[in-house]
This record gives sequence, C-alpha cells and structure tokens, in this order.
Amino acid sequence: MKLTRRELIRANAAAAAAALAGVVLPAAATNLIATSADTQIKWDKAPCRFCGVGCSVLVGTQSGRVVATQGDPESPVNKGLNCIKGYFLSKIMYGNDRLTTPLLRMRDGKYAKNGDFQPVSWDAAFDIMAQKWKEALKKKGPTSVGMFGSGQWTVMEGYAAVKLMKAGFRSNNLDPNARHCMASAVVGFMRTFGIDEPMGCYDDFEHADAFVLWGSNMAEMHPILWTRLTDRRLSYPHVRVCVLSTFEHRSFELSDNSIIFTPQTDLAIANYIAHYIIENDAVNWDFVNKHTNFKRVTEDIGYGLRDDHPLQKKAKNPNVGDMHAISFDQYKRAVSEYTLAKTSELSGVSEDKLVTLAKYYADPNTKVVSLWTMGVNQHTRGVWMNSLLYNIHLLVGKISQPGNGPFSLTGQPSACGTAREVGTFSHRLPADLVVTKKAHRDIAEKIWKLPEGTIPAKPGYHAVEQNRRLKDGDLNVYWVMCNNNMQAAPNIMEEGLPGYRNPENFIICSDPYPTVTAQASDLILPTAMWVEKEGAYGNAERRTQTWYQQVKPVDGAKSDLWQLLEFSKRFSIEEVWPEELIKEMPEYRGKTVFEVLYKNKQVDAYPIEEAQELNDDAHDQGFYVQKGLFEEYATFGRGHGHDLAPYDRYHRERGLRWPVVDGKETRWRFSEKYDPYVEKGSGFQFYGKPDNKACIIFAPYEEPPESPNKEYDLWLSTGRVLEHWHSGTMTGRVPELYKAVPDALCYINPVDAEKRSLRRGDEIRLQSIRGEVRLRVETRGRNRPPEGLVFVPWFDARVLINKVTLDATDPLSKQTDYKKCAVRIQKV
Amino acid sequence: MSKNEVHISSLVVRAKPNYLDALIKQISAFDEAEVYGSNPEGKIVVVVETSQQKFVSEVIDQINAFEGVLSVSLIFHQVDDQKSLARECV
Repeated sequence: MKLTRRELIRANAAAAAAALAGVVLPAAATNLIATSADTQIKWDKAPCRFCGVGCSVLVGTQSGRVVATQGDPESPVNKGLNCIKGYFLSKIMYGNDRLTTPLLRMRDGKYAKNGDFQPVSWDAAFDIMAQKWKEALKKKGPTSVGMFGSGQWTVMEGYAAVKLMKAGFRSNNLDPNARHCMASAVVGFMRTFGIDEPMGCYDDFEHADAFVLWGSNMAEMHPILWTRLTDRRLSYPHVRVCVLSTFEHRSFELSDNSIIFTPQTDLAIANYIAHYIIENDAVNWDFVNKHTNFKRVTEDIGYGLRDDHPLQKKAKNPNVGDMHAISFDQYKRAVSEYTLAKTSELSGVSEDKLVTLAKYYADPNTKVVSLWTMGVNQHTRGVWMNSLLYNIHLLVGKISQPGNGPFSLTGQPSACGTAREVGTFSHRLPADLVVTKKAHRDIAEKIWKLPEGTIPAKPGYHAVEQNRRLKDGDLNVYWVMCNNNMQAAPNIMEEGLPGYRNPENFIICSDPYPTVTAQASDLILPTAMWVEKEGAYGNAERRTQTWYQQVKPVDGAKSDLWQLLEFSKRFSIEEVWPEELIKEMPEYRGKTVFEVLYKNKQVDAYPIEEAQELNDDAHDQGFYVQKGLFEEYATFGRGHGHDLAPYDRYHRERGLRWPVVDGKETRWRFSEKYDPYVEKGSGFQFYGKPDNKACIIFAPYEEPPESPNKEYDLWLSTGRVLEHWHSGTMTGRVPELYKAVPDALCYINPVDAEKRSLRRGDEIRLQSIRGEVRLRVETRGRNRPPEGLVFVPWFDARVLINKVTLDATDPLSKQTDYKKCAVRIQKV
Repeated sequence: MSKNEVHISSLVVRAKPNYLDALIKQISAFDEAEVYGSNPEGKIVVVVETSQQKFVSEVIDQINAFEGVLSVSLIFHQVDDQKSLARECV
C-alpha cells in the first residue's frame, strides 16, 4: 500500500486525539501510524508560553525551526489537550516583524530623544544604556533607575533581575506586570494565611460537587481547566456550576445558576453568604475554633489614586491596611447587615439565586471549589474580596481537601513561579520575604554573600506609581522587559505616555516584536523567546516546570537573561555601591557587578559540561547559568515551606508542586494528610501565621471610585477573548488568529444599542473623562452584557482601551481596577 | 503564511451528547474538516487541514460557536508544505 506523507500526518494527528478522547477509530485509520523517522521531527517538552494554567506541550523541531506541537499526554495538567492558543506556539517566533537588531532613537549619528529608530550594535546599545544609567545613579541615586519585569520571564531571569536591581543597583524600583493581575491575590493570601499561593491544586477539579466562578470566564481564559470542569460536570450529574459575572459570557453555557451582578456588589454577595452560613447554623465550629481568628479591616481607604486626587483626599484612612481583632459575635453582627433582601437589591440578583449559591457553601455534604482571576483581583477592593472568599470557605472548613477549596487562578505562565515566588515586586524578595523587614534582608544578603545593608529597606515604586514617577521626572532610566505595559497600564494618555516621552527620561524596551511599548521607548532590544532559551515557569497550582532550549534564536535576538548579565558587566561595584558598603567586603573592590552577583561560586558552580549542547545562555557565560541561578534561588525556600526539588529533576518530570519534601510534591497544603509541614495530630495548620491560624477578615461593601452618571451613563468592563492572549504581542502576529478576531469590539446590550440608534457593526466613539477610542459595536456574539454595561477586550493595539480606563487601584495591593469605570458612547 | 504552507491539526470536540449526531454532520460539512470518530459521551475526533485560503482558527472558532459544543481542544498541529505532503513515504 502506498501512502503519502499527508496521510501519515493526518493519521498521526487523529490517533493522538482519539487516544485522549477515548474514541475508537476504524481500523483503516489506525494502521497508518507513522514513526517519527518518517516525519523527521525531534520532540521535546516545554510548558506553554501563554496563560497561567501551565499546560505541557510537546514541541516538534525540524531544521532549526518549530514545525509541530502536540498536547503532552504525560502532563497531569492538560493530559494531552491544548487549547486553540496551542496552535500558535509553532508560529509565535516567526512573525514577519520579529526584531533582529537593537534600535536606538537617533539624529545626526547620536542618540536623540526625538530621533528616529536606527539599527545599532548590541555594544552600542549597552554603551548608551550604561551611560544613562550611570548618569542617573550619580545625579539622583538608586531611586532614579527602575525596571518593569514580567510574569512571563523565566524563573532564572526574574531571579537575576531581582539580584541586579535590589543588590547591584540597590534600587527596589522593580515591579512585574503581574502587579496588574495578581497583586490583590498575593496580599489576600498574606493577610489571610501568611503565605502566598493556593493551598489546593487542579486535582480539585475531579473531586468537587460544585464549582463557583467569581467573575471568571474560564471557558475562554483557562480553556483546559474548563475542559476538566466540563468533564466533571457531564460525567457526574449531581455536580453544579455557578457563574457570577457582570455580563454573560461563554462560561454561562454550562452554568446551573447564572448570576449577573452590578459591578462592585460581589463584596455584598460574599458577606451575604457568610451571613447565611451563620443564620443557618452551618458553621463548622470544630474547624473555626481550632484554626481561625476573626479580624476586621480598616474602612474607607481610598482608591490608590494620586494623593491630591479628590477621591483620595475624601477618604478617611487612605491606603491603610491595618486589621483589628474581633470576636465571632462582632463578626456575626457585621455580616448580618447583608441580609438577603438588601443584598438582592444592591446586586440586582434575585433572592432565589443568592440562596442557591449560599447553599453550595453551607451544605456540609457539598464539596465546593471557588475560582477567580481578574474579576476579583482587578478591583479597588480586590484584597478585601480575596479575603471575603476565604472567609466563606473557612467558616465551613471547606479548604485544603480534595474538591474543597478557594482557588485563585493566574493569567501568566509564570506569574506564580517568577513574579510571586521569586519576588520581583517592589517590596519583595524570594520566598515571601520582604524588603521592609531587617531579618528578611539579612537572609537575602547572607545567601547572596553581600554586606549587611546592601538591600534598601524602603519599597520601590510599584507598576502604576512607576508611570506616575516617570511623568514627574523622579524615575529617569527605565527598562521594560518581557511585557507590553504601554498597552496594558491604565490611563496611559495622562500618565504612561507623558512619562516615557518625558525629555528627562531614557526608556529601554526588550521584546521580540515592535510593540506599542517598544515604539514609545528610546532603545529597543531584540529578545529571544520561549524555546529559543532554557528556562523554568511556575503555574497556578504551584507546579514548577522546566524546558531545554530547542532552537537557535532568530538572528540578532538575545534572551532576557543574557541581556541582564551582559549589562551587569558594564558596571564596577564602585559605580553602584557607596564606599561604606564596599568597606564591609573589600574583596569586592575592583570587581564588576557581574562578578559580585553571578560569579560568586554559587551561580557559577555548575560546569558547562552539565548543560545541553544547545544552550546559548550557558555557552555565552561559560557555565550552566540556569542551574546555578535556580539552585541559589532554591536555597531561599528549602526548609521554609517553599521547597523546590533539585534542578535536574524538573527536566525529567512534567513539573512538581512545591513544597517538594523528601522528593515528593504536595497537593493540598495545610492539611495533615497531605502536607509534610503540618504536625501530626493537628488536622490542619495554617503555618504561614505564627499561631497556625488563618484569619477570617470582615470587610464591608464600599462604593466604587467611579459609577455611571448622567454624562457618562454606562459601565465599562475590559478583559480578554479566547483567541488572543493579553496585549496580542504574540498572538496578534499570527495572521490566522488576527483574522479570527480582527478588531476589538464593543459588546453592548441590544436595548442600549437601540436607545442610541446603533446597529451591529456601527462605528462608535467610546469616551471616559480621560480619553477615547473608536471601535465597532457588537450586539450579538459571545459576550452579552446586561443593559447599562459594555465590554471591550484589550488585545488590539489600535483600540487602546487603556486610554479610557481609570488608574484607580486597590489601595493595599496597588493593582489597577480594569473592570469598572464610567463611559459614554456616540455614533461616529 | 507562505503560499504552499499546509496546517494539519487534530481536535477533540466536547459536545452535549444529545447534539452529537447533528454536530458530526455540521462539522463534516466543512471542506477542511473530517470527522474520524466519536463516542457516546460526546467526544468527536476531527482532523482539520487548511492552507492559506482558510485558517485553522477560523474553523475552530466556527465549530466552537455551534450549539451544543462545550469545548474544542487542539491535540496535534503540524506545519508542512504541499510538495512534501504529496510525497510517498511507505
């Protein structure tokens, strides 16, 4: 029988799908299975480059290019499946406009702020960069330099950046784009549990009886987890799915209890559930008495705006995060204000739907998982809201057990691994340590073999503050790596863009593509991505995964890690540290920052022979740099509840969930049964807190910073769609994808459209008091807002919806609220 | 996408079981898609082959929008070109 290569590949493709789906194919289709020799593809694993789920993908390379991908059947996360974005993995590196040379704004052969971008060598790029950096340090000191990093950095890149900024340049002005997505979750975890990241894991999906989605549209944003949830729902008819949102979306198709609530009233709904649990005697007293404390927040804390903003001045306790101990009776009284009638009226949700929702939590025989992402986190009361969800689970003791638990999902592939665990935030250090505590700084300085006092104690500027300080001229030299903040940050017309274009400032952007951010910068550095380098990511269930470099980067592009290390070679320690500090360790005199931080007999402890032959970063440095950075980083967490396995093991596994103790991963933290850190006989221990007790923290409903009014009569919510990922830097490059969802649309209720004489497809001007965009209206389609609210996705660089959004943040987490502001629309 | 580029992908479509037969018909109506098999739980195995005239993502998006479809997962994807695909190799 003669067969073509086409038939073989098709048969291969079908067989892979059939095996996973449990579908038996006709014999004719299965006896064609090709061996890899026939297709001449080399396969290796890598975590997906896109969202925070952390699917493992088999990557097929041929002649130095990625040509094929397959969901990794051995991965416990995705079990062989990929979502549609997996299709783009073989193309993201090959966009036509991939950057291949540094570009500097120049006029007459010299750098000029208002010049045009011209190609320069890497050497020339680092020359001007180092010159600007040194000038700023000399003139204004370490607080005038900063870096904006990423939850898409590899663990090693994030770690190298923390060392470079906090110890090398002695500046805490390092923040990740994860500030925009995870900061409220982090502060929520720290306040309730004293340790970051979810206690449960994805295994919960196969054990729960009820799933409650708080604002999350998992069907589009976390498709593979949604598939697991769907399988559970359809295989076990008793399972229920409840979806809460401010507008209807794809996840409602599987919903048994569909709840559309007025923006901000999730605070009231969560308190009502707590009230219901108490009123109906459903409190798990044994659990509550043994394992919890009651607290209440400081109220009226403002909206994280500039200090001179009227709303900020009006607040009684702006930015105050203090909590006060209360008794159970005080807590009971506080939540009792959120009666069924009042909550229904405030939220616009019918009473019966609220009762149904509350029962999932109150019924002792229902195992319930709560899931949330940006709806809860991008919220001016996001920290409070995270804790309110923990309150409900703690009151009934439904936590840290299979199928029972609150689950804060993430949006980026290493928001957990790099941004949170490595601590690339302006106030953090690795493994939940913070710069504000002397004992924590001491630990970091000891591991890094640096003199006491190297790391500054004052937190640096957070993401939103960085843009404000650029505009004000306090922050002057600024390196943006691995993210597209000019398209992501709020209120860019009033803060971001004036900051980047401030003549006093020099902005560097490292990216594979000429993003909006790159174009707003002064120097662009072409960057290697994904399997063009070796790296590690950490996903939403504490799973650390590594991958090997599988192809050479496109010509001219270099990894973020290479850029950080090479740049550090441009500085002598005398140029960045004061004499008093050098005196403490005179052996560092005359050395470069690179030598002090990365040739410290730890990072460079593993010889090049241990690295793969194809590992550009290692060969450029002459030692196995990824392993050295990972192992030094891992010393922060080992023995302290954040244990990572030896680096080499991750290359043999489809990831492991920390803490990894005695070679075993941990699935449910804080439970004696599953977590080796919990003492025998205690049942549960929330060991992030000194007394091993989690906090049930009351927080009230408070008004949003901005609501629709006469002039701006609609709510605006923003978010993503399935086919595009975040700002579209990678997915927007793929022509197919661009064609599928070419332009961001304004999803609007047909009644609202009719009131304004708008028809589907009409072009409109969407305005807030801050700025406007032009786009087309969609009255049908996958997102169906209620009257009074419009939804606009933010992947489209030509519809910069962040010109419109308010830069109000949660005052405690400093995370922006992208989910609600007031707008109006007019036909163009 | 280069002119001769061909994309071969396989999908698992998760359907509500009572929509299974109707969906198999709807999916088979695409020139680019072929249903290889299904099971009573509602899973359908589809192979999609596209060139620049029609994009994989468009087909996936359209399948996703059919009534009764709960999710569409991509399993395998390979980029090749017309010439090499026509080669006999067994």
